[in-house]
Amino acid sequence: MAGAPTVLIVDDAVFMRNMLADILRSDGFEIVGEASTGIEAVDKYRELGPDLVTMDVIMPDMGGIDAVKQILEQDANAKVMMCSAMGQQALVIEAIQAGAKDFVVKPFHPSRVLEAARRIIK
Amino acid sequence: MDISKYRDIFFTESREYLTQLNTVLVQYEKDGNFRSAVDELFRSVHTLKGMASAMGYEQIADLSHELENFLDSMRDHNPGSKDTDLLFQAFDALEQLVNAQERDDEELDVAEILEAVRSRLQEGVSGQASQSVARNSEPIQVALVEDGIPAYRVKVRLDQECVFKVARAMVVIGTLDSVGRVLACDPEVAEKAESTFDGMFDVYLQCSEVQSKIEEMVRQMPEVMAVEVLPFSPDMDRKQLDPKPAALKRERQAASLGMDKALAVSETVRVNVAHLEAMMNACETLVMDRAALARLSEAIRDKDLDRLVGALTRNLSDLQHEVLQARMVPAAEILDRFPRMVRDLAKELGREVDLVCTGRDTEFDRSLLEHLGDPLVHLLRNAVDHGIESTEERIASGKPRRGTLTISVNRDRDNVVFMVEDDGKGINKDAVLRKALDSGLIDQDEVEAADFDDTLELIMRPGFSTATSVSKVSGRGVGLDVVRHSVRSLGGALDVESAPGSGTRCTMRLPITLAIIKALLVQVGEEEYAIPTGHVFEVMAVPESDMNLVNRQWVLAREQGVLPLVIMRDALEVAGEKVRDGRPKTVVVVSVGSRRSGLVFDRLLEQQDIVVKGLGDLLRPVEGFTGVTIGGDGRPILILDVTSFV
Repeated sequence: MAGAPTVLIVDDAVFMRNMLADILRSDGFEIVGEASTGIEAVDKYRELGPDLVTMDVIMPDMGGIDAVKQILEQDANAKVMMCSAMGQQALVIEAIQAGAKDFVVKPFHPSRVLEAARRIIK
Repeated sequence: MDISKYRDIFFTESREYLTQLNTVLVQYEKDGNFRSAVDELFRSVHTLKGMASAMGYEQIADLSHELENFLDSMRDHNPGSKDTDLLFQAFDALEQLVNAQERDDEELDVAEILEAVRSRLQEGVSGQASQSVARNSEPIQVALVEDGIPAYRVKVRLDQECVFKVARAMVVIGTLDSVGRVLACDPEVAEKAESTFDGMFDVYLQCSEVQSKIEEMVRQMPEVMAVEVLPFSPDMDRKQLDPKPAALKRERQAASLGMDKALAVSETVRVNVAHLEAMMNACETLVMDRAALARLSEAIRDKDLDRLVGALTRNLSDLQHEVLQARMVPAAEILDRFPRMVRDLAKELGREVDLVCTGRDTEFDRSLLEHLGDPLVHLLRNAVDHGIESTEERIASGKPRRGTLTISVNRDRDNVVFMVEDDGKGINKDAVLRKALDSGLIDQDEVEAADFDDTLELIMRPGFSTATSVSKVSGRGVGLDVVRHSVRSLGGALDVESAPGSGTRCTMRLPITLAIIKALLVQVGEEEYAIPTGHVFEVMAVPESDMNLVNRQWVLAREQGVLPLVIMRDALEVAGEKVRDGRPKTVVVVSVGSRRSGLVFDRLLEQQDIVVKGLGDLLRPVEGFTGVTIGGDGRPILILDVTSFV
């Protein structure tokens, strides 16, 4: 992989997007795009082809799981990391079964997020 | 992998572990120290499980697995008698399974005992243990999907802090699937509810990466606490997930112990018994050929031939000695099953008994093994049933509360001597005589003349009594005639001593091998007989004039006293002249217990090794002979049961 790994951050909350962006940037990731809905995420993925997608589980219109499915339909090698809150394990499991590569649980520990992100794009 | 070649060793070894299990548990019942017992029990059961899994004997593995959980749950509290009884039952079931497996009989159903262990575990111990039972209750099947690619079992334990254990496990599984092919998971993680999943799981994986690479990859994953990658083959297509992390450590300990053991015994090899039998048979044939050759060379009278026969005799004797050594088994093989048996017996009869075994290392030929069990069991049963008193009786008569039963095994020249001794009430002379009178074995005159030795002799007679009546009347005698009969048919002797009030001792003296024994060949008239030297005290040449008839009994007066004689020509009903033909006679003095008699023959021929053949079922009831051997000229020679002439 030439240059910094690229990331698409998908979350309906700006707070979360910023926080994730800061964490990832601190370790040399390049944030190439952000999306606040599932539909937007699918479109941006097609457009940007990032190395990694961080995906919120619950979002307005299209949820994270359907977005994962559609992204993987486009690119079977897409690398998606789910971002979940406590109590959403059933959805995380569904996402993993759909093809998500890993997950992190809010509240985020920066080290945990980076660990997962690094491992996925390896 | 062809596992059938491990079959024999599996059965041999699993029996050793079963014996070990019983011994350790009996010891616990005795000393109440479960802490020292539980590790040993756990280790034996664990090893058994591993062996059975590797062989694909699922029932054995299943039951061992449950027992392992059960034992693990008891580490912190001593099991009560209900638990030990259950364990004993489970050990029995395991033994039955092993036996059934050896017969290729897969019909045996142990579901009941399996269920009993499971439910005991659930009612008795913490939820965690019962969870692990539930998790492991369904066996999984793993089949390889592609040949030539190594398969692994990846054992993973997640961090206890991990909040989404199922999801985390699935990520691990997904990652493994990205480098190889996941064949199965145990438990099936995806079907688990978060609340019942403890974060431990096995992934069966086929993957061309090396073991260490896989391990490293999983270790680096978030929230993975421990990982172990083991080679896997579908022969072991059963789960072996340990119930707790601690068990993982124990498994390693057990493995390293096993290694030490293997190093310690590296000087020995295991040999199939069939080879030993074949070696002995070959020896027997050689022994007979040698005898024939010796007879031939006697007739030819050639110096060189004589020397050759001499050398052959020596070499053959050495060979025979070595073969016999190879076939030797320690008495432990038979003794080690008795603690459990005596424990059961004592419990059944409401006695308190300590069993002491000495001479476990005493060796004898394996041909004895199968014949020893029944007589010894008879003697032990007698001692517990009729010898040792009830606890109340013992206390009343000022004896220690618990009775002591001792089995000791010693080697005495070419004999092995088994002694079964109890500190019970001994044999009651009056009761025995009364009983013998009632059953018509003796008349009133004989009752009055009888001394204690006669009394002991009586209880070994066939028809003395039956088990039920004697146990009420005198207290001893059950099947002693049966024991004596089998001991005699092995060329041995049974001797009973008893001190009223303080105990009884039964001594079984047997040749160390049943296959080839040293014997004297003697002649009466035209007939030859063999006498096993085990019973021979001395051999004398005696002029006829020294033998006297006193009270219808031939005797020989000697410095040590009067020796009763048995004129074998009469006893064996040999045709020909009567005893007084003017020539000196050969008197073979035989001793059985404290009794001695002189057996009078016409001539002593020689001493040689003879091959013992059984008489077969048709001739077995014939009194006076223990077997037959083949002479140098091919004629059969009967082997005398000297004990029946004393």
